[in-house]
Amino acid sequence: MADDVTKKQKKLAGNTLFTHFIMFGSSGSRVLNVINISYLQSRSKRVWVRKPLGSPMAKSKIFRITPKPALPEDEKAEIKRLFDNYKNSMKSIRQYFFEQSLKQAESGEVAQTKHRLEDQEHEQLVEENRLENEKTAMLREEKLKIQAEKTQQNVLASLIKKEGEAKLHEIQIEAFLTKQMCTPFIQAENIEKAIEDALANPVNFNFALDLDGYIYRGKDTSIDTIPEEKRERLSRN
Amino acid sequence: MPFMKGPAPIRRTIEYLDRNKLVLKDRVKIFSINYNTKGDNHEGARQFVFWHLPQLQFKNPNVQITTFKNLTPSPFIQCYLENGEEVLMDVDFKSKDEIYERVRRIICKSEKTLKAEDKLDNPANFGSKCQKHCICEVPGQLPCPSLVPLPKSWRGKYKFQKPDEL
Repeated sequence: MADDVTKKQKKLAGNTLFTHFIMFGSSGSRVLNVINISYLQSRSKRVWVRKPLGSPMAKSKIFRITPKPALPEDEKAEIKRLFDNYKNSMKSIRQYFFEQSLKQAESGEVAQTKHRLEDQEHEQLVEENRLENEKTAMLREEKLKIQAEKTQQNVLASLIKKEGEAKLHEIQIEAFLTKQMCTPFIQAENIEKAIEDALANPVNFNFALDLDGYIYRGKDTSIDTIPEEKRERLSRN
Repeated sequence: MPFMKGPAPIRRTIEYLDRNKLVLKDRVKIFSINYNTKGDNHEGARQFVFWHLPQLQFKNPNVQITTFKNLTPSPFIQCYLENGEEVLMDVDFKSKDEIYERVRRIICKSEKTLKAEDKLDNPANFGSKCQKHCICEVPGQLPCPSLVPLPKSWRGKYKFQKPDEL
């Protein structure tokens, strides 16, 4: 089997070296590539990089139970303690050096000038911003003034309207009251006279209507007794 | 493929979020904007928040950006800087584009700075986000030591080897 492999190797020339393993055995024929490719030429020795992935376990190894190296608990704890201490110290030292290096970068000449320029620029821009703010404030004042005037005018107009409406209302009330006053109310003094008048002039509400539009008052009036010309025409009041 | 949900979902696409120049300066830590939901003088601020605030946060993931609604009669933007300074920008009656330009001018990094910091553009930078991954790719430079090993006198492990200590 080694001969097959070396034959394949000798075939390939140049810097890159591939090794193809052709396994004849219980698994049957399989062609498998090697994972790691070495770029250095090795003419003498056959390089065994690793066992091909699909190949079965060797007969001498199938029932092997590897002895697990079991450390006692206290040793493990001690190792862990030492390891943790070391790691913490190294990490903190590294972090400290990193921060120092950053500070160094900040404090160098170039960095200083850069910072100064940036600050100057920033001040300039802040100043510009302030001016813009002032402009906006003035604009806002004007707009608010205009708005205030408008609302003032609106309010005034509505007040005037209300006043006008109130006046109209008053006039209407006056008219109504005068109308009411005109109607003959019966006061305490007129009551006896009113009673006598009412008794003297009884009002008869009975009437009948004709299809032609004539009205015949009274309950017992006979229609035939009234001549044609004297009939009352039902008017629209 | 169906439409994306919500009003103007283009605001949620990576391309939209990436394509803007609102990279705040390093000294800005908090960016807050006050505006009302009603009122003509707040319209610009509202539009700015709707269109450009996601872009701003995308480009500045470490800056706190907050909005305050219906607290004050006029809208404004306030930026809190590292040294305690506050930059106040009055945006009353301003349009969204005016606000955008103002923010860019006053507290964002300028084009020059962005270009200088841009790793992709500068051929002097090497790495994953740059034009070339390593200087060994440049013709005329040393070939990659993984292909052609360096001479032993250049390698630290041989230079600083102390044979008596081994």
